[in-house]
Amino acid sequence: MSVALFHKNTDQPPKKSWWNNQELAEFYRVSDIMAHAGLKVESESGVSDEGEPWFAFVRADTEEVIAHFAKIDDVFIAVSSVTQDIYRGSDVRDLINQLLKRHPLMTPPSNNGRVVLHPRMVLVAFVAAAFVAASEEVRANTIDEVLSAALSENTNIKNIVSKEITDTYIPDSYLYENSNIQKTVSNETINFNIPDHMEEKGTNLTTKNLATHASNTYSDIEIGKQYGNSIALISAVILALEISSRETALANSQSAPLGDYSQELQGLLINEYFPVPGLLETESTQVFNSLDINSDSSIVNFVQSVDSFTVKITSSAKENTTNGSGSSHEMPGVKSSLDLALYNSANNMIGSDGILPKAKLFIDDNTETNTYFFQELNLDQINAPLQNISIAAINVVDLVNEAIKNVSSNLNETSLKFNKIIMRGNIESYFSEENTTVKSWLSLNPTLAVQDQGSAEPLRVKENEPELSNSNNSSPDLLPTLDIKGYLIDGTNNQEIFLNDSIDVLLYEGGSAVVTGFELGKDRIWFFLSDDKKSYENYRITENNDLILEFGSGDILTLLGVLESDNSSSALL
Amino acid sequence: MSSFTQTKHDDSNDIKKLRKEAGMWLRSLREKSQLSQRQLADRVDVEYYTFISQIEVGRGRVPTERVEIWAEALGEDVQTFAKRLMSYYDPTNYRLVFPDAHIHLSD
Repeated sequence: MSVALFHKNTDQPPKKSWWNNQELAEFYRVSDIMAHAGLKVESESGVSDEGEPWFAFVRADTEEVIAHFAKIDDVFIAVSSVTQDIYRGSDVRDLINQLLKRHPLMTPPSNNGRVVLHPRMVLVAFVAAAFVAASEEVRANTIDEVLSAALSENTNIKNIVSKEITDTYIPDSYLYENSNIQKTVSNETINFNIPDHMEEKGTNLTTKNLATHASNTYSDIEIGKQYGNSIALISAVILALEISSRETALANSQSAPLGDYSQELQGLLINEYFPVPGLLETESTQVFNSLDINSDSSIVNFVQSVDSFTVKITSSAKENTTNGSGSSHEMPGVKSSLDLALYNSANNMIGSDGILPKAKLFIDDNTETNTYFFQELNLDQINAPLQNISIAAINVVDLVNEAIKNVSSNLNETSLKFNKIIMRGNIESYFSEENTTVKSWLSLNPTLAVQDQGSAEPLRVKENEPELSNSNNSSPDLLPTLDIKGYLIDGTNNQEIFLNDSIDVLLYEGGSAVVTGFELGKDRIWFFLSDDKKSYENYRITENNDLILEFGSGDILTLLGVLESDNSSSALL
Repeated sequence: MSSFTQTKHDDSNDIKKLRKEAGMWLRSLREKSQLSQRQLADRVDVEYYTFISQIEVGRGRVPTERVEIWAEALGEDVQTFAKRLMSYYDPTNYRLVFPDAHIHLSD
């Protein structure tokens, strides 16, 4: 993981506007990918005397500004500082569209044998091109010329140099037989054409080396004018493609056969959650990563961040006691089953930085009501080992897609589109209602009430619950009328659960169960697993489109017809 | 203020420091001329006036081929202006060309 430093000048006039998060994310993406490619860039940002923002990328080795972005009179501009080529758009997306219009070969794949570049990578290619164009050998040419030369066929380029694929994978979508960049999957070698004098038979060049080679050793000025930009930009574009191949393959998979991408699916889908892949390490398994105790209002919040998925458990303390270990907040009347899951999860929260939480949930075994305590820990307790229980929230879409690659031959014309689901919920006062062990609601008011699965009543959904005053989880992805239901699978064998049109959340503690009506892309599974289970050991998609999760304990969780529902189809198409 | 005594100027920190001082100097000239960044950009024929802001914070440099028009836009003598800019942007050659010259660099 690379670290990019972004400088912002503080000695600036008041801002009339500033970059929004999307724009900053784009800049971070550029910087991060460039850094991964070995093209070290710094950045500087500031505002003009009129308060309009600008953002510049600077070559770290020469201190030369290579690209300048600004918002001037509500117009987003991008400038190659070396060539002074200026691109304009209403926003960053529009600007990318302008780039695509000026360079139609950068459009998504159309099986025309061209090298293609996904729109999300256009800005990267722009800066990468500017970086390379800043080299002495190619700086006389415009970005337009460089891009056109790099992205179009050049019949004068003849020879081939082999390049070893190192640790990344270039999807087939970019490399077609008729283009001047070709890939042979079988021997993991890609070939691309370079001019005669660049030929180094028997030499394996990394892309990075090629870029260096192209820009630093190219000395024939006349030939350089003809080929220099092409080579340099091919290198730059390949850099961007290579490093971001997983991300770009995801988008291109929307219009390409699934089989071509089965190897990339797993990582791609996780990356889609994050605006700047590469800046974040992603895992399919998450744990609670923060705990906040508000001593004034006796509010305890568990916050789980799974991409944008947040859960809060809030309880009002009935009594406060103090002992040698710290303050305790009693929460009487808590029911069993799911409370146990909460207990487990609370006691196994590990911050993403590996730091243990500063409080634990205890059960007072001496009381008949199984009174639960949140207890703040002293330093010794914080450093004590955790109990052997873990909690995981696994994105089922990822899981299914991972399984699909095993049966991709049966889905010849199916391509993938990741259907992002954002759920934000709060679980409050879970001990306060007679038959309810957990109550949660979305910020837009739908309320989830989860009962013990043994109850004859199905799980209830309440709407229009008062919103937490401290809730800041408004989610544009959820409709106010969204219906959410939770189902507890608590270890009782052979449970059979029928889901409906709600957003269904399966809370899986263990045991075998058969679930009907699970809709991929909409419904969720949370795993509350003991240490001996940890995770499923095997999973597969059957001929009947069922997803089978097999655990080491012998438990089997079956999601019947998971690929057959409309939502599942839309998630996969 | 101190005299210019450094012998190694290709260090990134030195470059940054000199660029920043150049930017401050250019800003002072612009403000002395009572020009906004947009007005100066118009005079030096730069399409995006935020470039002026970028230069004034010490990122990038006045293009060599544009030094004359910048001097005129700021009402400065071209040779004096170019010489001063050279001391910031190309201090090594500046020292060779003007061995007895001292430039004003803040510590």
